Amino acid sequence: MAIRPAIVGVGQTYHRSKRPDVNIGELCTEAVRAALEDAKLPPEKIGAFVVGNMELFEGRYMQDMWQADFVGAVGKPLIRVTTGGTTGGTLASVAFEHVASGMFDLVMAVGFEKQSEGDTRAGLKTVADPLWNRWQTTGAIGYFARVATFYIKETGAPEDAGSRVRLRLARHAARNPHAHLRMDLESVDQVMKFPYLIPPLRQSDMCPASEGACAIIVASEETARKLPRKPVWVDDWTSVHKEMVYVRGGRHSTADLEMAADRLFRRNGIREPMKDISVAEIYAPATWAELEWLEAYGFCEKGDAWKLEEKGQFHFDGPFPVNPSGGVVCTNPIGATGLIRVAECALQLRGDAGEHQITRKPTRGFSTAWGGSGWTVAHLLSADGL
Amino acid sequence: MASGEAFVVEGKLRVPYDNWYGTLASAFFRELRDHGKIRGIRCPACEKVYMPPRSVCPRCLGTLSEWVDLPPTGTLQTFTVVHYDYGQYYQPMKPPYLLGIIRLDGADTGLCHLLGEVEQQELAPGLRVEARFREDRKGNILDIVYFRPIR
Amino acid sequence: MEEREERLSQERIMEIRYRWSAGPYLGRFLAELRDKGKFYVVRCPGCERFLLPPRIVCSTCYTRIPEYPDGWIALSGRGILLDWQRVIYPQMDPETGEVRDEPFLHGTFRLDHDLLFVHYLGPADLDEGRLQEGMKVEMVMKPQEQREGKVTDIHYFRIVED
Repeated sequence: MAIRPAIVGVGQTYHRSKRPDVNIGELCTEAVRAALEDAKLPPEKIGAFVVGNMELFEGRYMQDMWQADFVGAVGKPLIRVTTGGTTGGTLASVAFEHVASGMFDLVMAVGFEKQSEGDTRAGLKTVADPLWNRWQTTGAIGYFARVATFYIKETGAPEDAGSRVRLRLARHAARNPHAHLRMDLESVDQVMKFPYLIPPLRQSDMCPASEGACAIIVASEETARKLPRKPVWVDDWTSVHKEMVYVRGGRHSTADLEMAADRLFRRNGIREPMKDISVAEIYAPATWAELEWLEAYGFCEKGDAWKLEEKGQFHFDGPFPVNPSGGVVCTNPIGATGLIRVAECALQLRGDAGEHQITRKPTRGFSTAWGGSGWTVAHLLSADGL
Repeated sequence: MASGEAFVVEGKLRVPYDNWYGTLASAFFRELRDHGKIRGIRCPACEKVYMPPRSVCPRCLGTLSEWVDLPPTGTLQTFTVVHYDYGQYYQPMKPPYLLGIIRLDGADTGLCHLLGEVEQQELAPGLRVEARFREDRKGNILDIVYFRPIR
Repeated sequence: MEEREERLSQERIMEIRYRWSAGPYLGRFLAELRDKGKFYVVRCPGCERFLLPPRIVCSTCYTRIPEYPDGWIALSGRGILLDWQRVIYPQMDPETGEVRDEPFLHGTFRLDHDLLFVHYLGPADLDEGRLQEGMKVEMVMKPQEQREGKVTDIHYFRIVED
């Protein structure tokens, strides 16, 4: 890597199912202003912008053209990134690459989604090939119902394993003022009362459709050291596309998650991920996926995640905090979601996460984004002064 | 299927949307709908009056909240004739029709809208025009039917 | 207070027409399905995997796949039920804008050569309670006059009693 990038400011809106009080541009402005305020930078200092959301959710194309005015990018380089569910993660990667290349000193990445403006499930169906399997897709819910089915079958996890994950995430979200669903859930039994979407997947296992935006500011090492916030260093990032779902006959596979984490861990000398990494903010749109994917990333053995969950290992004040923000299951403004993972990791590594700050000493952070059942984006961050 | 014969599937997308104006633009369209009045918004830092109004100044990223009442009259900046028919969902009326950019008196930016009660030959930059409002206004920009020359 | 005042939005329907080219591989697959009720796969000459649907190149070993009929294999249309899901929530078809709200069953089937395939499990009045993993299934085609050159020319897979 030529220039070492650092995250020097993060900002996000609050998230709700509906934000009729703002249009898309105004929603982005909220996050942009928050990030600028966090970094203590005026808008004119930002050299380039990367913006994005998911196609077809709001029915507006070339959003970058409209957004330029609202993020402070008039007269400056701005590109749009739209990689489906991974959009937010790719936004961060592209901002890192802008800085690493030496082309720009300060880059802003902005992700958003305003799901109530369209039909998310109809939009998601258009991801599938119209000639082959669009007719049969059931959107994210169908996919994650199968993840749950397979996880139970292959690991012997009890039917309440997903609900335990939700209970942890609800407790985390209750501490995070930005989280969308801040429900007062107190017991697994209470979570198990939520209705099924597609058995064994319950409503409580699945992410909400949120509206919100997130922005981060990335700086070169030299600039980062002059800015007031403690820099969060970006050590490495990658993305993996696997063979598309129709090749596998609809059977899900976690090959992309395995390859992405394995590549990052190998390149950065991480041999014991749970020990070497102190916080994970992973993009898992369903509780069952969180369990399956922690195993796929290599944090624990196959079939062990639900047991570690039962022991409370993944709580924000536990030995290996997972999604201390409340995760995607509590907040999912799709185009911003991957970027929120990065921003939340950065806050944890800075020690600025407030009530949901992990109690373990923050050293390294792992954040991911995932999309379309086909690919994963992953980032490795580290705290200053390690 | 003979070799070289293309297998083509006719398809379409048909998806409903509900796009929100936001707080500031809602206030603008309520005023237009309920009182047939057009308002712009001033940026105190840049001293520009935006019409259509917006809540964020694109130059300084500041919040705009200073409403300015504008008259329904203005000056034609430029115009074009639309001949191409894109279909019912994408055009305000069946082509051909006239589109102009109109700078309302007191505004610093132009509004793109339809031109009516006028022949193409009469149009020229600088032409003085006025808004003709709909009787049954619904709270969108077509509550202005079109701009026409001040006779 | 400004926030308490009426907020406006604009409802609209976006409708766009497309013409999707299936290409010689998927196009031939769909044409054979429509015209003869035949369900073809191809075998990659490089890594010997079976590929469903047929395509121009193997995505893992990059070997060029021959065009029909060289190396194309028609499946028997019979297989084994692996798992199934009841889809119970209403969902919009993005190609019509209409919401489908009657529940239906999706099944995953193991076809010849261990190929996995997801399709409807039917018929509509199928008793879900008697379904078991490992049951034998077979493909049911729509009547010839209803076929359109789509994967849904297969009506559903039905359980075959031993």
